[in-house]
Amino acid sequence: MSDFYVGWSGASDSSRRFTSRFYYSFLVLMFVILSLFVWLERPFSTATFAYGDQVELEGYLLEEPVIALRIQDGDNFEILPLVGYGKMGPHAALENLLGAGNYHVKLRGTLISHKGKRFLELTDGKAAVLTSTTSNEMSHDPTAIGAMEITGEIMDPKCFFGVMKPGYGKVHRSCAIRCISGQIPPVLAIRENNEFVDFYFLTNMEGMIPKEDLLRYVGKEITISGDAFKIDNWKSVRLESLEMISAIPEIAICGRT
Amino acid sequence: MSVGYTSILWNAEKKRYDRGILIFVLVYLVAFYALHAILHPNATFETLLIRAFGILAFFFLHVILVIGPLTRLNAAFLPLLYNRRHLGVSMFFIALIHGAFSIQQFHNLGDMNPMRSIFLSNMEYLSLNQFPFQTLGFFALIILGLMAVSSHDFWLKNLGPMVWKSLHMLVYVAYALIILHVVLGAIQNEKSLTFFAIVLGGFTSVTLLHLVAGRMEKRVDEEKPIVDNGFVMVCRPRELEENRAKIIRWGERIAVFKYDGKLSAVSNVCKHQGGPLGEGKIVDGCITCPWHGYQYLPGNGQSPPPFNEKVATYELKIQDGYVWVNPESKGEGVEVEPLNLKDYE
Repeated sequence: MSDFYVGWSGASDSSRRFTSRFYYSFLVLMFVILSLFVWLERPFSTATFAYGDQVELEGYLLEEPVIALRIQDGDNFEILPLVGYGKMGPHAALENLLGAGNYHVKLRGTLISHKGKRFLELTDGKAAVLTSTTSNEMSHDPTAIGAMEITGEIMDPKCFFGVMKPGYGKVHRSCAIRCISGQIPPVLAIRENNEFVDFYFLTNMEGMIPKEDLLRYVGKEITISGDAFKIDNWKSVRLESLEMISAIPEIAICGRT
Repeated sequence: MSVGYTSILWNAEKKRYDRGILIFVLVYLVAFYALHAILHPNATFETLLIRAFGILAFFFLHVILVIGPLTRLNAAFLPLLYNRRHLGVSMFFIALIHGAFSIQQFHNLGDMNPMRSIFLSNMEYLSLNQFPFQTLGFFALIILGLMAVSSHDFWLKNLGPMVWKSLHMLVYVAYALIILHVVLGAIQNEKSLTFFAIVLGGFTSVTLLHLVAGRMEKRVDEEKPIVDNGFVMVCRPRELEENRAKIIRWGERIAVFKYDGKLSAVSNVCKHQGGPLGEGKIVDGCITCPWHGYQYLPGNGQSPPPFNEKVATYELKIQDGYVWVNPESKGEGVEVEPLNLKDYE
C-alpha cells in the first residue's frame, strides 16, 4: 500500500497512525476547552422550579400590585405572585374571578422559589382553580415606603426565580420580553456585589403593569424613580413617568462593563 | 463516484470515519454532563443541552474549516477530507438541536409565534451590544441546513460543480454569522475573558491556515512559464516523479503526469468537487484525485466505465530536452496519444 491515500482502497498503516494521532489530539483539545469552559462558567443559581410536583394552596386572591395569592401561616402572611403556563400571566386560568370582587380561593400549581420568595405557576387551563368563594375578610393595604430612585435590571420573575438559568441578562432578554409581554409582572432586581439582593414589582400610577412601555428596557440595567410600597414579603414601585427611566451604559466584551 | 440519489456508497474508511465522529460526540457529551454534575449541580437540563450542543457544533465547524487548508499544506491530512461531508452533516444536526431547543426555551409558549419572536422580541438592530444575536444563529443554521441537504453527490451532479461549490462556500458566511452570534450572545453572559480568548484563538487559527495555504497556491500561480510557438514549457522529463504530476498554470491549471515511461496532460480540476488532480497519483493506471479518489484515464481524461466523468486533455511535445504543453485544450474526454519517452531517449 502506497502512502498516497485513496479512501475507497483503505489507508496505509502510517496514514492510519497519523490520523489517529490527530483525532486523539483533537479529543484532548476538546476536553481542555470544555474543562476551561465549565471551570470558568458563571455559577448557576439555586432557584428551583418543582416541575411535575403540583401543590394545592389556599388563600386570598389579590389583583394589585400584581395578581397573587395571599396565604396565611399563623400571624404571618406571604404573597405568592401567580403566573400562567409558559410565558403567560395567570389571567386565562383566573378569567372568571379577576375584576369580580374579593375571593378566597384554592389553587393548584407548581412552585417556583428562590431567595426566600415563592411564585405559583397555575396548572394550565381551568383545572387551576379548585374552589373559590367570595370574601370580605382580607385586608392588604400596602405600606408606603416613600419616594425612591433605584437602579436595577428589569426581568421577568418567573424565569429568574426558578424556571431558567440564567433568567436574566442579555442572553435571556428575548425570553423576558416575551414573558412580560405575556402579562407576567415585571420585576426590578437590585444588584449588589454581583448578587441580586432586592426585588420590586413595577407598576404605573394606576397600579397596573406598564408592560408595553417597559419592554425595550427589559434585560438592561436602568435607573427608575417613583413611590415604593411594601405588602407582606414583597415591594413594588409606582413609576411616576416613563421619562424618568434612563439606561445605564451597557456591556462590551465578555459581560464586562 | 455516484450519480443517483440512491444511497451512500459505504466503504470501510467511511464507516471508520463516522464511527470516529459518533465516539467523539458521545465522549464529549459524557464529559460535558459529568463536569457539570461535579462543578455546577444546580444547572438545569435544558440549559446544559443548549450549551453542550452549541459548543460542540462550534468546535466541529472549526475542524471542518481547517481540514481544507491542512490538506493543502500536508497530504497526510487527506483521510480527514475524504468524508468531511459526513462531519458537516453531523455538525448541522448538532447545531439544529442547539437551535431548536433555544427557540423552544426562549421563544415558544408566549404571546407570539416563536419564529416571529426570534426577530421581533429584541428589536435593537442598531445597537452592537444589544443586537438580537439569535437572528444571526438562525440564518447560519439555514445556511448549514442548505449545505447539509445538498451535500449528496446527487445535488452536486444536478446543480453542477460551480453552483454546488458556490453554495457550499457559504460556509464562510455561516462561520462569520456564528462568530458574531457567540460574541454578541452567549459570551456576554460570562465574566471571564478566557471565553473571548478561546473564540479569538479559533478564529485566528482558521484565518491563518487559510492564508498560508492560499499563499502556497498563489506561489504556483505566480510562476511565469516560458512560452514558445503556442506551447508552454513544463520541465525536463526526469524532473517529473513517476506516477505523479507537475502543475503549470497558463489560464487554466494543467497537470502533466508521468507514468510507465509516458506523459499525458489533463485539466487539474476534478469533475467531482474541483479537487487538484495534479496533487493526485496514478493508481491502477488511472489518475486518482487526492480528495475523494475519483479516477480518470490519462490518455483521454475519461473515468473508467461505468462512470462517465470527463476532464479536458492537452497535447504535449518534447523539444530541446524539455516537455511542452499546448494550453489549448483538446476538449473533455478527447483521446490524446501519450508522449512515449522512449522515442526521445
